[in-house]
Parts: sequence; structure tokens; C-alpha cells
Amino acid sequence: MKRDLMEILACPLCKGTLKLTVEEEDEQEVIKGSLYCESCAATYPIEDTIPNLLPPELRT
Amino acid sequence: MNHAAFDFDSLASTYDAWFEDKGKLIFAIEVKAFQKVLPSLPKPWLEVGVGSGRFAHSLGIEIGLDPSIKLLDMARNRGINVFLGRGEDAPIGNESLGTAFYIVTICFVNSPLKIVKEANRFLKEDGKVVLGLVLLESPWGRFYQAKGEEGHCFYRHATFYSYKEVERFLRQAGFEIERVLSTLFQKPGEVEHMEPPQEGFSSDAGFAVIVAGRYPTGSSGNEEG
Repeated sequence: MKRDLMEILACPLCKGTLKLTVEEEDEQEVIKGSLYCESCAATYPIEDTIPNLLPPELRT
Repeated sequence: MNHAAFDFDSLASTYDAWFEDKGKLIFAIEVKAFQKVLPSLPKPWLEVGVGSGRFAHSLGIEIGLDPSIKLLDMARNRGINVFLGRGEDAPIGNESLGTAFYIVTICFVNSPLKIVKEANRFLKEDGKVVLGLVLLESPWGRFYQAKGEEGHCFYRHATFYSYKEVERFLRQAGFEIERVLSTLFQKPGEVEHMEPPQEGFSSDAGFAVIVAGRYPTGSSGNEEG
């Protein structure tokens, strides 16, 4: 995930702001990490560069 | 893309191979139609239901959303900035995008109205919705619908809509059709040459590109029913 994607991303539930935590990153993008919505207390993982922003109940 | 997500994950390679095999010329004809409308569309651009990124890559759409991780892997490898999600619960902030593309996506969602209403929320004031779709009344709509009834792996999950139905759910979501391009006038099984798009809706066309803008604030566009 390129960092500039943060300019448009929001929580799928409340549409609120997400906080990015980076675990692994290269020059181009975030490889592993998470996005956290404080108002919903929901965490959305970033794995292999792709953020999973499916509502929690729809994740497999 | 609720019910279709599972099928697209399991059939991702089959889906993607169509663009270089049987669908190569059809894809080129459809891209040519989109290219006519691109210069007027505000950025940034997002494709909802980006799939394997074939259209996004060809049209210069920089961001893609899809519920299928296998298709998103392919789209990422084509250089699209992707994220996993659903158009119905779009994980996008209010008024943050210029144009939302829905290319062969509306037919695979449970509620076209719901995903287009989401676009009204996340698009900027001058934002546009661009639909690329096979309309029910066209020869291709009837062809794909018949395939679905026979149990085709993709089309049994699809619902095709008439031009009037599309116009209605766009209006209910607060959008007004501004431009329509029709293409793919060659019949199923008879596509042999490139063709240019024509302005306006035609029930003889196999593929339509519909550009819609928001009703001005205070107009009666958001009617129900």
C-alpha cells in the first residue's frame, strides 16, 4: 500500500479516520502493518501490501 | 460484490484469461469507448470492482477496490494501488475522489443502488460516476442472461438491468446521466473487427458507457421509489 492511499481510506463501518501502524515497509509502499479505527475499535490488517478493509464480519 | 466474491476468487485465472483469449477484441472495443470520456473526468480515479486490473491498467485508473484477494493480487501486479473491500461499505472518506468507475460490476452486486449511493458520499462535489455495462435489452444482455440460466460459472451470478432501470437507480442515488456511449454492435459470436463507439443509448449495442454527475444541491434528484 502506497502511503498516499491514506488520503482517501476510511473505516468501512463509520467512515472515520484510520491510524496507520507500519511493521514492514520498503521505499515504495507499506508491506505489512495495520489500520485502526478508534471509534469502532476495529483493526484492519495490511498483508503483502494489500489492506483488508472488508467489514470484520465478512472477513474469512 | 457480495455473493460473487467467492466465485471470483476460485475462478480468478479463468476470468483474467478471457481478456487475452476470446475477449481480446471485445475488450479493445470497450476500452476505445471509455477513452472518449476520460479527458473530462476529475481525478483521482477509483475503480470499484477492479478485478484483475485489466480495465484500470488500460484506462489509467490509479486506485482499485475489490472483495477478491486473488484478483487484487493480479491488479497490484499491473501497478494499481489496491485494497480489499466492498462497494456497499466503501472504506473511503467523504468527498475524497473525483471519479468512480463501475465496469462490469453493477451486474454482480446485490444492490446497485446501495453502491452508487456510497459513490455519492465519497465523491467530491463535481465528482462523476462512470458505468460500463451490458444492458438487458441488448443482444449481448439476452445472450449472457441465457448463459446464466444454463448455469455458466460467472453469468449465473449476474443480474442485467435495462437502461431505464439504470437511469432510475442513478437518479435515486442522486446522479443524473450526462453522456452515454454505445458500442459492440457486432452480435455474440460474430465479433471480427474493431468498431468506434456511437453517442447516445442504443438497444442494439452490446456495451454501454454511462457518465453521470451529481444533481445540483437542492434539486429533486434524491427521490425514492
